Amino acid sequence: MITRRFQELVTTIAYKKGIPNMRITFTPHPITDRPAELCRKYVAGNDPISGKPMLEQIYDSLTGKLSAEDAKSGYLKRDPRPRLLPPDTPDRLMQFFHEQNFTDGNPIILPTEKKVAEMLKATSRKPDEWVGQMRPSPPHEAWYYTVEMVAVNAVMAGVKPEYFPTILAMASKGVTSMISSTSSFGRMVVVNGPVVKEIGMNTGIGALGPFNQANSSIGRCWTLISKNLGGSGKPGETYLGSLGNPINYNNLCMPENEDNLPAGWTPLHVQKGFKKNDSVVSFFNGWSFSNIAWYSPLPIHEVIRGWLENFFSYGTRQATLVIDPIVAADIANNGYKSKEEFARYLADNTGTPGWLFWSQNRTALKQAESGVEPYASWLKRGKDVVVPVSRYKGGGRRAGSGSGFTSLGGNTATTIEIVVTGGGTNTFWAGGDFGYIGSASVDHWR
Amino acid sequence: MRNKMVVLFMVLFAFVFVGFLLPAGAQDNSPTNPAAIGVPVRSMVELGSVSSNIYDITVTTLEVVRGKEAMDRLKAASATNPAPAADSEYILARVKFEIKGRYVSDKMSIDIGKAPLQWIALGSDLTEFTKPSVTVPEPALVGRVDPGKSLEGWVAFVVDKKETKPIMVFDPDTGGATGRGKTLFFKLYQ
Amino acid sequence: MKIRTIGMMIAILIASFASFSGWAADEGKIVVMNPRGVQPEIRKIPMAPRQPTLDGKTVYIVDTKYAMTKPFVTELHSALQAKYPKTTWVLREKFGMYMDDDPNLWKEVKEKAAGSIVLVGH
Repeated sequence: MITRRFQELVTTIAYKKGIPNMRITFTPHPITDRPAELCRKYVAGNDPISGKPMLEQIYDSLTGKLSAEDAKSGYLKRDPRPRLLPPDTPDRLMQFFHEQNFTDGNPIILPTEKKVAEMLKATSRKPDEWVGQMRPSPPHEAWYYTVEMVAVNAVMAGVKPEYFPTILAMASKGVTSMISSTSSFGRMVVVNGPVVKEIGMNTGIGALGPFNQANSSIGRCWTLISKNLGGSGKPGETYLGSLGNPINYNNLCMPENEDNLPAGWTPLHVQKGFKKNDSVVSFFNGWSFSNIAWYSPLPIHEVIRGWLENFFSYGTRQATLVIDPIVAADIANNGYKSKEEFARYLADNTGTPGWLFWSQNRTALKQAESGVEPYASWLKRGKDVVVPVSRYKGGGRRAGSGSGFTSLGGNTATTIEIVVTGGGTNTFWAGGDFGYIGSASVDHWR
Repeated sequence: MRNKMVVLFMVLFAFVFVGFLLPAGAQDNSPTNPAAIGVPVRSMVELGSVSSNIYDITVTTLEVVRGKEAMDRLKAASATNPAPAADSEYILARVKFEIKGRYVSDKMSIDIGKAPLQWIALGSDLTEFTKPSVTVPEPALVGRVDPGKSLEGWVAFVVDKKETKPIMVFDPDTGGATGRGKTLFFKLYQ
Repeated sequence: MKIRTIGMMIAILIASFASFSGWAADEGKIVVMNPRGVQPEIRKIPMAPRQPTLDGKTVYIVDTKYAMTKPFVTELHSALQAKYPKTTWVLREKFGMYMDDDPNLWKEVKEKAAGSIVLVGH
């Protein structure tokens, strides 16, 4: 059973899972957070798609005779995949690409064989070598792609051949930039190592903005790869994001400004186990990103701490800070000799707003009301007062996961990542509920 | 001379024509284009649950025996191996499975031979034959394979006697909600 | 052989190459490559045979525990019990979060039940 809003999704998923005639009963939408009386009315009513009484439809689905086809095994036909598309004029091809959802809505470079061949010269890998497999989210089917197929999408995105190993590394991880979820995920991709300078990425003024071909096209390419090679981004079927997320246009693609890291602050890829001279792309998963352009009499590390404490979005158990080199220097000068040290300070000293804590931890609330400590003392201070519980401890905790928390203090792993980039024109920084997913070597694909 | 030129032209024409008809590359393995015996098929599997990585695999059917020869080998492997139904016969395939990680940190291994749908035989109409429960000749295609290593062994199927073009399927999925890799297809006939 | 004949043969060869490779010169058309990846084969799963009636049978109602959908699941269970009292309707929660697999539960359903209803989400 599923709500009516996902009719297209569930019927295509049933087909792709090999049960094209799966018996499905639909309910009104939404079901989440509906009172019992309304649910009772829904159950007593009709399936909103078929119009049949819901309970009778369920019974019939469990007893109705199967057709001969339903009882057979075998393989369902898929459309063949031609290597070349039928010839047409450039204008009509551009329109066709938009209509087929091959693009991000913006014009693309049409991928002629000549352009793709040029792109392929930038790697020693053979065109028919498998690069990866990608799916819109875990239950969906994965699509598979070769070096040549990635090159086609790289041409479309406006990628220069010298960026191609970075693109291949990105594609090899098999992570979609657009998860199918209704919550409209965003992604972030950070590039480290010698490749940043080799391909002329912008680590300075406007590093996150539309000012550099490499920064822009590499991030964009991840979205095209996700749509065309990973089966993602088909609204209603493999993309259900209620609002959508503008981050998906470029996926917050940025290089780290390694030259301007404070002494003792290691680049992201080194933190993740790579050598300084390795060229690496790293991936992050989240939902929202805030640009904090604010002056305060407080030291900047305290401002960041306060922001983290009160920051709320879906992914409330992880955070990534993207900070300007001046901000990084200020933080280091205030005694935080490494990114890890600063992250630990933040995790140890950032509580949870009372309204958020008590609403997410109903068991703790009941215990507080029954006088069980320490909850009772926390609640006594007021339901909206910050509770001394950290949301950013315990490394790798899944964002949005249910109850469970870690008290402040102690020396444990954190879920806070820090990336330094930008041109040092002001003491500004940004942050979001992004968590680190993994990294891939660019050098592997040269 | 003239005839030689015509023949040369026809040969060149044929090369051009056939060249554009030939499938391009590794992605063409399918139920209608299964790999021949001895032809390695390169593909990928995804390993890991919380954070998965892609590993490269190569699967090759090395040898296929059928009918009486398969039955004889099964009897030699275990006297309790039953005869198949009257209208069926056994096929034994010797398969090589190789896996490679892409990075030094890729250390996950894959279990071969335990998931019930991992090796299945299909008829030429692509319907599945039920997997037999028999003891295969040593070595069996069962084991945990680490990155950089390979496993070679026998796997058994039972097919209709009248089935002339059975196909072997390798499906890396372990039956959960999330798949693990592309399904591969191999000929169980010459 | 005459030069003209040889020339015609070469022209036919080139034209064939052009048409097979898509060098379509008419109306300014070009050929581009397919940006799509390879879709996997879909293995068809035979559906389980149905019972003619559920009287005397057991059916599992599997709650995938999507956030705040408990009221609906509970009402469904009650309504089925009331409408089809000769059937045993067993309400069970699936393990973990809504995307986690629960092979033990599926095994139990196969062993003990005539069918299952899995729900619901959102």
